[in-house]
This record gives sequence, structure tokens and C-alpha cells, in this order.
Amino acid sequence: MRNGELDDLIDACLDGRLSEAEAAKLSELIEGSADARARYWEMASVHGLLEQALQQASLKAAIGQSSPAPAGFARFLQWRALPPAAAETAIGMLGRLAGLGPCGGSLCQRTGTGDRGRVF
Amino acid sequence: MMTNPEPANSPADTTEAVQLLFVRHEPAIRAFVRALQPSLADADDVMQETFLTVTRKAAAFELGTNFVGWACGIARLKVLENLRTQKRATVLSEAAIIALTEDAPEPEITNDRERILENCVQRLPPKLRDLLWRRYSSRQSSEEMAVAAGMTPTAVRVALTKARGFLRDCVASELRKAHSL
Repeated sequence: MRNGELDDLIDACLDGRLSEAEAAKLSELIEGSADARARYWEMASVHGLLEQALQQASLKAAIGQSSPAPAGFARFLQWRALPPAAAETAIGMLGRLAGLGPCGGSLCQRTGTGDRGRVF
Repeated sequence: MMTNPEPANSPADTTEAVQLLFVRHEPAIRAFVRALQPSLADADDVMQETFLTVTRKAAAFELGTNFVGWACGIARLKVLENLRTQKRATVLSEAAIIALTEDAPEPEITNDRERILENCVQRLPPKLRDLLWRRYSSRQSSEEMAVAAGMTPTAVRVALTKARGFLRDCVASELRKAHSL
């Protein structure tokens, strides 16, 4: 299988839009190939980091923190005004970050947006 | 009669210390869970179950050892439990998940990647950065992004795949450079 096809399957998996046949194919590849597993983690790492960095950036912008981290996404924010939906998400995340106990934050509540992991 | 003060390493102290470690390392644990559990709702369920189990088993954790590794071990079991409960045919098989967790990268590498990723994002054209913002920060669907960007949903998916592919290669290349210095 070409790397491009493997990448497409991994992308679809990480976006939650695999078909049944694609899920079976990707599972077979991952079970049988260390290279496929390494590729999966490379792509999952980028996917996860983007998600975290951009959500953190929107949160920091929403609360007006002057020195947001990660710093690179401060530059990212310079060209992109914070849309209302992002502010809403960020306010939800602020609530998440505020709690430390088992039911004080993200660990006992959803964002209220349903299963937004399946975006495609 | 005076009571003895609570010893420093009481079960309550240990539980609180472990809960604080969980909060501090939540991004690394969540990244591990999200890689194996692409559905956000399922990932939230797994994170919640993991936190409860980590709290319940706090006394078994030896403070000063690898917390992220220990918590990810618990999260791995919770992902598999969730997989068995959901019984969906459109997700990876249990054997594939187990194989992936056995090859999972060390969480410490993540910090390097995060810093490098920030620089790589800046090299993308504005339109691709805009799509990334919509996808990961605003959590827009491909249909919503298509309307906003004047593209077809398929073109949005192709563009996002291209952007992530570029970022993956850019991060890998920069990591190689950093490690060769």
C-alpha cells in the first residue's frame, strides 16, 4: 500500500469518519506493520497538538491573557479574529480548567456541544 | 485529649497529590487518549473514567515515578473497555489498539513537537491556517468550513489532509535537525 493511502486512512480515523471497510483495512495494517504504527503516531501527534494548541490559544485570547503559550499560536491569532463560537468554546474550557476535583471541571462534564469529534 | 496530627503521607494527601498530577499532566494523557479514541465524547468518557480510577488507586502510585506512564496505562484499559462497550465497526479493532499502545511514543517528546509545530504552522498559507483554526479551535464540520471558505466539503478535507501532511513532515524534519545538533 502507498503511504498516501495509509495516510488517508489514518486521517479518516483521526477525524472519526472511517467506513466499516476502511476501519477493517486500517486495523489490519496497524496490527501487521510497525511502520504503519509509527506513521499513525506521527499523524496522531500532529492532530492532538493542533487541537490542544489552538484550543489553548482561543482560551487565552478569550480571557485576554497578554502572554499566551504556546507563543507560536499568539502569532497565529494575530491574523485571525476570535469568532463568537470560539469564545463560547473558550469560556467552556475556562470552566473546565477551574476545577480540580473529580466533579469540578472537565472530568465530569461535557462542553455541551455534543460529539463534535466527528466533524466530517 | 489531643489527637495525633495527620501524617504527611496520609492516604488523603496521596490522593490529592495524585489528582494534582493528573490535572498537571492532563494534556499529555488526553493526547494519548485522543489518538486512540477520535470521538471527542468517547475521549471525554475515557478521561473521566481514568481520573476516577487514578483517584481510587492513588495509594498504588509511588510518588516521584513516571505518573504519565502510569496514568496512560490506566487510560489504555479504559479505551479498551469503551471499545468493547460501544462495539462499533467503524473504529480500530481491539488488536490494533493494543498494538498501537505498545508502540506509543514517550510523552516527553511532545514538548519538543509542540514548540516545533508552532513554527511549522507559520509556514502554511493563510487559507490553510484558517481551515486549521476552524477545525481544531471552532470545531467546525467540513460542511461548515466549506460554506465559510467558499469551498466544497471534499476540497476542505483534501486541504486539511495536505496541511496535516505538511506539518507532520515539517515537525519530523525539524526534530531530526534538532537531534543532529
